[in-house]
Amino acid sequence: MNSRMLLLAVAGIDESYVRESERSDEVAAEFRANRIRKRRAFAAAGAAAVVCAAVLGVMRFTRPLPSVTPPSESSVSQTADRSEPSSAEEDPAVTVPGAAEKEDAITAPTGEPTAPVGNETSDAPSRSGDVAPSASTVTPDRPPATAEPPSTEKTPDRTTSPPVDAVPTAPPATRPTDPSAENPTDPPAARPTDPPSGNGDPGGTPGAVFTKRSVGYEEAKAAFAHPIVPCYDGNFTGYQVGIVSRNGDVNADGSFCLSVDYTFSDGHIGLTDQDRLGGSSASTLGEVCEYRGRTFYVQTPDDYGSYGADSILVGYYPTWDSGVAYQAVFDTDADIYEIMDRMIAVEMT
Amino acid sequence: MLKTGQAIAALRRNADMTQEQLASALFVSRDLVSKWETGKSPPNYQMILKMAKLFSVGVEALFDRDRVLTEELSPCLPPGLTVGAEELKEALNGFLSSLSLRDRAVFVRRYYFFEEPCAIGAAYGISDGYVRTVLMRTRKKLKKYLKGAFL
Repeated sequence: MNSRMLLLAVAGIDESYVRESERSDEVAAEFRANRIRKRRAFAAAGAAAVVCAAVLGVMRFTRPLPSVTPPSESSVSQTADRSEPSSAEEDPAVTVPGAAEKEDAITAPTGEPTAPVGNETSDAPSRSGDVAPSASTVTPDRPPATAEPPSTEKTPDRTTSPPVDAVPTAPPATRPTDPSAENPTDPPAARPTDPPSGNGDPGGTPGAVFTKRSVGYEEAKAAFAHPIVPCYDGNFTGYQVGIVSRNGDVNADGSFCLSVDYTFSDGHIGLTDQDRLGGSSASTLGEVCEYRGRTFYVQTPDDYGSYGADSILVGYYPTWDSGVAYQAVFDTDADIYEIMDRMIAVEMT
Repeated sequence: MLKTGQAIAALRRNADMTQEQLASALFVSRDLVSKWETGKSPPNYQMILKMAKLFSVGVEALFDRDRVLTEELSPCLPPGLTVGAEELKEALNGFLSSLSLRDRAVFVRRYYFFEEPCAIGAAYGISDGYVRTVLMRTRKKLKKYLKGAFL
């Protein structure tokens, strides 16, 4: 097919389309209207996520919590149901659920006198039981264990959970060598005091959860332990660190910072330490885009619908499947080149 | 075929004009003319039309339409496709009818009028980066459409 043929084909474009393209005002108005529509949809989705998270948080705290009773039998049975399956299965035990929901669960206000919200600080020793219920409710993706009796505690309905962010998945849990460790009658209260498995091995942390926390620049830099650069973009809204911890206790031994997100009004750029992830988040799906001496992978909903019909994913992997991976998720209307410019602006040198 | 910048410089010299004189004739700065000629920034389509008129040449002398079509539109055609220009024209119009007004308008401006993305962006109040984004997505859709239509 030569260019002459193409030239003839484009020269035959319908006259009505040609005239239509010259009506700049009309087209510009449609661009504006579409931009506004997308922004509203984006804002509405965000608001819905916040409302869902708040409702879920209130629901959790309005339920009778085992933690408000002495941390003995009730918490033993419930925690056994929750945490044992993850050690018995080879499936990723530390499926990392959405962060916002966990954070909301911890910080959600409640008027219930039985809920010790004011005590929701993760360094209180007696609070392992407090945090544990939240941890179990934010890992709904975990498949049921086959080696364990069915849990008596109803897992939360997924439809009530708030939307989940891009979900990095930690490596599979190591199957315990001691069969007695799988015994559901063992007091699981001792689990939080188990020796930490180390920062690079969240798989050894049964019941681990991923918690996103909004922090300042210095705190993000210190937590991520990489020389991240500050962001001064006009749409920038803040930093969020993603902490993998046992049962949501971000200050517990073995918890570690897996990622840091630069959040913007229309999306976010996430930096993930793939060495700590113990796996690769690099993906070559989508269109390769060479820009400013770097290779980006642009995934539109056509390529990879799981990011949503209104989202676009741009990946940049300077050291491929090790080191820090950069992934941006933005509204599909966002300018890809602006996204790449933003990613380059936050690239660590 | 010379690149646009080289063509402008050649035509200007043939007309015995300096960059200053060409800039004055087009009501632009000399720096801009210099940027066009050195390829640092492409002239928009309106300027190309003005220069074509000024130098009494066809637009083709200043603008390599073949290059745009070959580099940008040819990859949309399924490999080994053997159809006539008429069939391709019909398919192209069918594809355009499936697009939204904005995507269609951007496509037509680029491949019918051969306007630069910056000029299209200026006309529609969007950035040229966004124009390139729209074009990239539209080309991807076209590729899929033609594949479905002919294969």
